[in-house]
Amino acid sequence: MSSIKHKLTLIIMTISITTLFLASGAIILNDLKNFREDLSRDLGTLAAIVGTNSAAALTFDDPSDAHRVLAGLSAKKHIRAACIFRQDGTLFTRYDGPKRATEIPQSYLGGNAYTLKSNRIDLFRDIILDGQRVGSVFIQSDLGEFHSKLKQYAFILISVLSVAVLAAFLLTSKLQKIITQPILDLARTARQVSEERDYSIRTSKQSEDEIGFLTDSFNTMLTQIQERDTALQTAHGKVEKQAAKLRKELRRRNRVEAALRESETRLRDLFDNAPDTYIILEPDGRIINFNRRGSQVLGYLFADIVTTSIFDIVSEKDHDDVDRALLRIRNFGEVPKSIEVRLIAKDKSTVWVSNEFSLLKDEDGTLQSVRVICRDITKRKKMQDALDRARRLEAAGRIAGQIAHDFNNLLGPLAAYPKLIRDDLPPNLPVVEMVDEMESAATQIAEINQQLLSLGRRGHYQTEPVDLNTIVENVLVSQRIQGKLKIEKNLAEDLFLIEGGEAQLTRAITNLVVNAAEAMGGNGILRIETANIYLENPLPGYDRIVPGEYGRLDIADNGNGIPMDILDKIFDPFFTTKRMDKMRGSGLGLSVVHGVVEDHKGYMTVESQVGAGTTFSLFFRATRDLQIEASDVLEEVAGGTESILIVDDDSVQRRVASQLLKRLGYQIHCVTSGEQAVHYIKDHPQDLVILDMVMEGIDGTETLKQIMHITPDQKAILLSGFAISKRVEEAMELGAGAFLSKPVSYTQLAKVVREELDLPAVRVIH
Amino acid sequence: MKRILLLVLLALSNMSFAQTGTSDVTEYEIKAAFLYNFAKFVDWPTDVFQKDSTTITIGILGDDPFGSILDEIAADTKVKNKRLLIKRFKHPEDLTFCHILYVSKSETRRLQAILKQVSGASTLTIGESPGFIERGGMIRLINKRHKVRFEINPGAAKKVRLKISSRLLKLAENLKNTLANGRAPQ
Repeated sequence: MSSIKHKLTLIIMTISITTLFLASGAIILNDLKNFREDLSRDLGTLAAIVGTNSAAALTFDDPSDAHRVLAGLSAKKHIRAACIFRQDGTLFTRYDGPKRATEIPQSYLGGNAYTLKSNRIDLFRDIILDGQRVGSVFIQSDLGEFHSKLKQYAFILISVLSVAVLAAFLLTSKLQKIITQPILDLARTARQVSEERDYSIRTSKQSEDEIGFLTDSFNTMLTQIQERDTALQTAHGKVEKQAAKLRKELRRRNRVEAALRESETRLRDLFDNAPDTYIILEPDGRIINFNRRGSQVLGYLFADIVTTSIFDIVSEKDHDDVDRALLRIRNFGEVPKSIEVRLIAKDKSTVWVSNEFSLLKDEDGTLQSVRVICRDITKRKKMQDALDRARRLEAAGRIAGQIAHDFNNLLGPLAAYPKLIRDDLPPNLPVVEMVDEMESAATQIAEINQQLLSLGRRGHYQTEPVDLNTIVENVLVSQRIQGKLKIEKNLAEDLFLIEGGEAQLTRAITNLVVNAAEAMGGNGILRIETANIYLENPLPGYDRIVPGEYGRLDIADNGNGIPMDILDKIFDPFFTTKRMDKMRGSGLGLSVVHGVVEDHKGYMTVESQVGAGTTFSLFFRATRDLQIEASDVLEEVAGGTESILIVDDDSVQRRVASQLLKRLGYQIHCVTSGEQAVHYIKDHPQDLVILDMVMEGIDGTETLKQIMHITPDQKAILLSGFAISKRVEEAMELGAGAFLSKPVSYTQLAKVVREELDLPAVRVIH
Repeated sequence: MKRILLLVLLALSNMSFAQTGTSDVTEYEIKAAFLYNFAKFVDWPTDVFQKDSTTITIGILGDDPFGSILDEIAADTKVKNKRLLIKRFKHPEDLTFCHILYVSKSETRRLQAILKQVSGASTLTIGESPGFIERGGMIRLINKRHKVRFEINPGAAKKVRLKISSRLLKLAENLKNTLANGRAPQ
């Protein structure tokens, strides 16, 4: 703390020390100067005496006498040496004192000189006799005395200063109170007043000087403040009461406001997170607001459609319904019944919704806005459609089958007799031509009947493993493709066998090939392709599929294509576009195909572009158990006895792969998830891990990563239904050895497993 | 003249001389220097300078062994700010007052009479003859170990009110020990 007490002490001490130091310094310096002057004067005198006393000796060349003179200097202990030089500068005599002399000149040619060195004084003085220089005397004096004096003075100075400082300090600490005490009292009082806010405290006056006056003024000031404070306290009390009331009110309002905000947030949250789309409309149909669910369903951002009209997002087909509903609201203030309409999403897709209307009115009952809750019923609609169609097909098929059965019996004579009649008729008769036409018609009827029979026989046939490639080849042979039609065949060699009815499949494929040929008018390219494929995601038009291995058959034409608006009707029975042609279609072909695919639990997709052509793709579940039996390729592949862990959530895949690899001699263990694999590896190190990339839970890459933590050199093979992806690349970087895309041929799998196991154990991982 | 000055300096610097007399500095050159240097350490009573205060007279009685040396010195030297005047006397009857009188060895036999003759005046008598001091002469020059030294009779000087400096007295051969022992000269 830098109190005034300390400051005062500091000032006084500084002054006393400085003064004392300067005074003693000056005295000592002066003393030293005098001492030095005395010393040199003494030395001069000494030299003069020596000179006088040795003048005669010099004159009469008596060095011994001169030496006696110099010897007299022995009384002066500080004389180190003395010399007398002749007039011509040569040394006449010399004396050496008790202390060692330095730099004694060997000759001297005259002149008075005085040299002060650090530790000695050199003095030369001419010896004058009768106004004439007869020689010179040299005296060297030691400065030891001077130095000891210096030390003595330093000691005195320090002692005096120390004593003086001590004395000054003691005196100051006593005397400074005279000034500081009243000030400190005043300061203490001031602090007390400011800390305790007690303006009744007074400080006592101790003297009649300026500080006394200050004390008086301070006390007076306190009195004034005290008066004002009292007044202020009174006023403050009133204000405080008022403020307390206000604060209470403020708190209440804040609470209400917070509650309101929370309520609003909750409502907004409800609004946004409602499972249905909420749209708030002006009575004329303009959109005021809609919730987040709405954005998700329709793909519009709030800014996209707010202030546009409801009619902009409702399909034109349903404008009338909406218009009617709004009219009802506007004109009668009635809540209309719920209606089902199609909304057009941003991506132009149709979303079926069921609209519930409710009216929002203000206090006067005036209509403010209309709330529309749009429940997404697209799925229901689609299911309903599918169901309708299935029922339609089933009913039609049953009836058709019934009729066809009867027809078949009746058709016998109609088909057989024209041939017989023609044989009995002479040729060239015009009637023969009619018979031919009869026969042709009968053949066509028989064909249609066959289709009808197929529809009617749905689900009632034996299945066995069949090869799609064989069926395709047979169809192409039996259907003599006419005209300039070009056929591109691309059939997979190792195509999976599928479980199915050969006759049904033959009919379905025939229908597709015929349809394609007709679509191109016998002039174009018919592309037929088969392939193995692993399905994991739903195909277009299907909500879900059974994942697994499938055999795929594509039949594509580059004909006119099918317009969008009839694409969903092409599988309906008796729907045909060939009504006007000479070759009138039965409208049953694609129905049959559809039925066959359904019966095989397969899938079918159509891709068509007007002017470019149509591609039908059929997917049939593969059956692999028998294929292994049939395969003799395995014998060529080397097996082994290493341990292999198969990680796949598909039971068929697990079973098939483990059967194959067990047969090759490996020790196989299967798990159904990445987590299980990691857990298993901890206690059971494996030579190789076969990993499915896409699984429930952690995927293949993550599984490998975690396994690598346990066994950093783990060998692994990846499987996936997808092409190479980023995740696969990541896994490869981690150290996976090979990537096989599903469906995997067993030969390939066996080969890769062997190769991977034969690789050197340590792999360089970047 | 320069030669003389040099000579004086040399004489003062190293006052030994060669016995053979072939050396640069001869015995009498040194003795000549002594002669006028004595004047520096002797105080005459003031009345002897009443007639002429600017001259110190050096007289030579009998045969002059100095030749022209003294004249050469005198021409160029002042003592106590006074010129030196050299006077030569053939016979004692020719004597006039001199501040310093050198009595040559040629006058040894008449020494007693000569010293008596000058005893009334404040004349510093200098001689070389044996018994010069004993007969009342004041300073006798002697040769000692190739150096010129001297003896002093302070009592004779005192009689004629001549004050010889103690500095000179302590150099005198016959008084050295006396002075060195702190006793006053007789």
